[in-house]
Amino acid sequence: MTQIRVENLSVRFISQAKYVLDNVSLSFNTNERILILGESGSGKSTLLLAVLGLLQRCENAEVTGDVFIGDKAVGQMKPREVCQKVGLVFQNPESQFCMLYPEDEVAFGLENLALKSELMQKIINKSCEDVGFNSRLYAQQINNLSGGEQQRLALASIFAQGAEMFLLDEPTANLDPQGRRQVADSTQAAVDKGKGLLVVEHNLEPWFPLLERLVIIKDGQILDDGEPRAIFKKWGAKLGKLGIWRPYAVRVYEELIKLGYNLKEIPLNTQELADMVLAEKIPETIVAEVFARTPENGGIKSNNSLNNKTLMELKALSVGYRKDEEILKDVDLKLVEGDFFALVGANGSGKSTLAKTLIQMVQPISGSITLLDTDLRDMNLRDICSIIGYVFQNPEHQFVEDSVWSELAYSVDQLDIREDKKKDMITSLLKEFDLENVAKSNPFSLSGGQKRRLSVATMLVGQQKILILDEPTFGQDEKSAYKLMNKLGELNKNGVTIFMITHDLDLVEEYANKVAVMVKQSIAFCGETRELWKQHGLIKESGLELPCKIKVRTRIEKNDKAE
Amino acid sequence: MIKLNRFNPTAKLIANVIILITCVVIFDHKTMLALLCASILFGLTTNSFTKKNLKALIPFLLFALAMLWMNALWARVENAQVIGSLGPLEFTDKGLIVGLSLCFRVLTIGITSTIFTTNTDPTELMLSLIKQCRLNPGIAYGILTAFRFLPTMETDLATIKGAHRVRNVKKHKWYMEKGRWYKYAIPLLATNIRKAERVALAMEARGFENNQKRTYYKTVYWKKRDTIFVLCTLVMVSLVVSFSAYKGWLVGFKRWQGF
Repeated sequence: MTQIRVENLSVRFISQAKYVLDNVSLSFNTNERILILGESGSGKSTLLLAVLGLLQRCENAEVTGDVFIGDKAVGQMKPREVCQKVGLVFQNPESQFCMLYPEDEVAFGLENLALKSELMQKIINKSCEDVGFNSRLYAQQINNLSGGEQQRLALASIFAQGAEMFLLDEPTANLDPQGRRQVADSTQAAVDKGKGLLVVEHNLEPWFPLLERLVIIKDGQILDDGEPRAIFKKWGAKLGKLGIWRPYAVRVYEELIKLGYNLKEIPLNTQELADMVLAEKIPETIVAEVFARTPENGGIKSNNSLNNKTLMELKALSVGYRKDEEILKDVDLKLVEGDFFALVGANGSGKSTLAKTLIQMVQPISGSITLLDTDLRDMNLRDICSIIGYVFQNPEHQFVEDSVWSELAYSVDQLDIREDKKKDMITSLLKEFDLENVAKSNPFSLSGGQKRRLSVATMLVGQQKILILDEPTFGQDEKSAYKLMNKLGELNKNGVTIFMITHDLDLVEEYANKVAVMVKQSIAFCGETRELWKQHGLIKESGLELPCKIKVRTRIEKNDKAE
Repeated sequence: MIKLNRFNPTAKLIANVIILITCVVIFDHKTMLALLCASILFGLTTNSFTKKNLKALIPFLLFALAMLWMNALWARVENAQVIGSLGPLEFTDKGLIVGLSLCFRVLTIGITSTIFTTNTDPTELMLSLIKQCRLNPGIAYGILTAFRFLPTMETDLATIKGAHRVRNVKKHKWYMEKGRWYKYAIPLLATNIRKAERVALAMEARGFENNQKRTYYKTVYWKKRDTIFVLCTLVMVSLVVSFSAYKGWLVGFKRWQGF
């Protein structure tokens, strides 16, 4: 166990006037399990990099104050000394490896420690086993591993180096539910071996009660530090107003209190919530009422399949790059005007391919697609794009201009309207998507949420009837994710049909009225959203995870039946 | 049957470079043909002409035939005799010879390089270059990372092209018939620079420093058979060259005569 002390740490990047971290002091032991919570851009990742001493060596960062590991300043330590105390796992699984094969990657860290090569094999095998990275995967290239397995490999790598504390920078943000479970399991295994954790994460559900200390960062300063339940109790709803996301269970707890029901302590995840609700014998009707009062979506809910007019229909569609290799098999799907349609499934189940087929980026082998009563094969891309707006998973891919304003102008220019009207249109779009104050910025310099909103805005100038979004909340924090989702809900209310790809069933529960589940290249379920929640077996098979609300209610229902 | 992947990658690289240099300095078709035959023979004994490798050779073949055709038509040779014509196109005898030697050269380089790349593991090549050629580890790991990024760059580019097509559906104006290439380059570059930055951080976080002592999990040794391999290549090449010099075929390096 080693003590780490952060003393009066301030960090500023040369290109920016604002301090990312402003006089932060923090002290912890390497065997503690700490969660850092804060908005995007509040300096959480920066803090992790500074603890490792990486920023101090960085040329474009101005760092004052000190970080001590034990009694040594991190700036005076060699990288190989630091990595034996603390190891870092990054958010993006694929861009943290420098070797081609898993075994070599774990070995890379040991080579840096100048360990004798005879000892390596044993350490590699043991650390991979300890975090649950299967040795059958050794022969596969790292590029071909799933995101969850890649993060496990990253954990194995720092485990092998003997780091006492694992610094995790949003390790599950880019993963599907199955990958999230894999990472959570591996982290639990590491904790069982006595490792400490310092986690930055937005997706809180799997991390409580594993993490026992909470540090809240706001605008580069530490807002509070202490036991999670105490902090949530002390701040209450004020945290939400400050833009800091609280676990869903905490918000339900607050609503229950308002209704006069008290739980013995604050529940930190849905499991605890369900247990406590059962223990206190709170009636199901009350729970249902509270759930109705705690929507993320501000009450926007799509239930308006306007006039049952079919916009798009897929019949027996099979898709593949080659005849013998089908990525989609026999897909039937119907999109009705006014739908908020969600296409869900684990990574690699074929969701994105389906969407790409709709804009002719992938060609069907057999079957048909009909768009507004016309066969897609008889349409050119121009016709299609006047009906469908398409937002790619990585918004950067769609940017063609060098300022937000001209990005929108580029889209508006595609329309045949008068010059002065064009300008008005751009101004109103900037306002509508909350992009006014960044109108002159380069699209690449925006935050993740802003980039996404811009890419949606550019796709909606032509009054498109259908908006297709490929994983719109991927890699974003809850606040900007829900900001975008509410925007989509609003658009849907105004008559735009939404077709959204996601693996987050909580979002589906909040917003979508229709849902299709993809399992292994074909559609396993298609229908009303509320019907899906009865299909527990299917959800398990698809590798997804039931929404929090549904989980709690199912627990209560089961209990009622048992009694 | 010789198993090529058992040899030291650097030995294979040296052998390949020997052939490459020889090809560049030889300018007559007979010696080049002999070298081509030798490399084909080598390919056959190492069982290297799999379906996949033959596919990889198609571009080389097309390029070689194009060289032959163009040179037979337009090589800058003196006192050339016209030996055939196709409409207004006239083929010359000396042009044909220049064409043949260039065609054989492209094929020889193509075949030996394909044999080299398909029988060499990139990680081993880098390890061997670090150990045998004292390559800076920082550069070697950089190259390996770049190698890992290549396939994703390809899919990224396809997505970016698709995304831009969706953005620009207006009928093209005559002066911008083609998509402007740098519009694709910027997002591709932005993603990859960011990725490279993150990998660099990740490597440092794992204790990597450029000029520190480090050990290696897998070691690639230089064995006796590697020396023999390089010597054999040298002997084979010099045999071919001296035989053709004895026969009086050999024409060494001279002014570029291609079209």
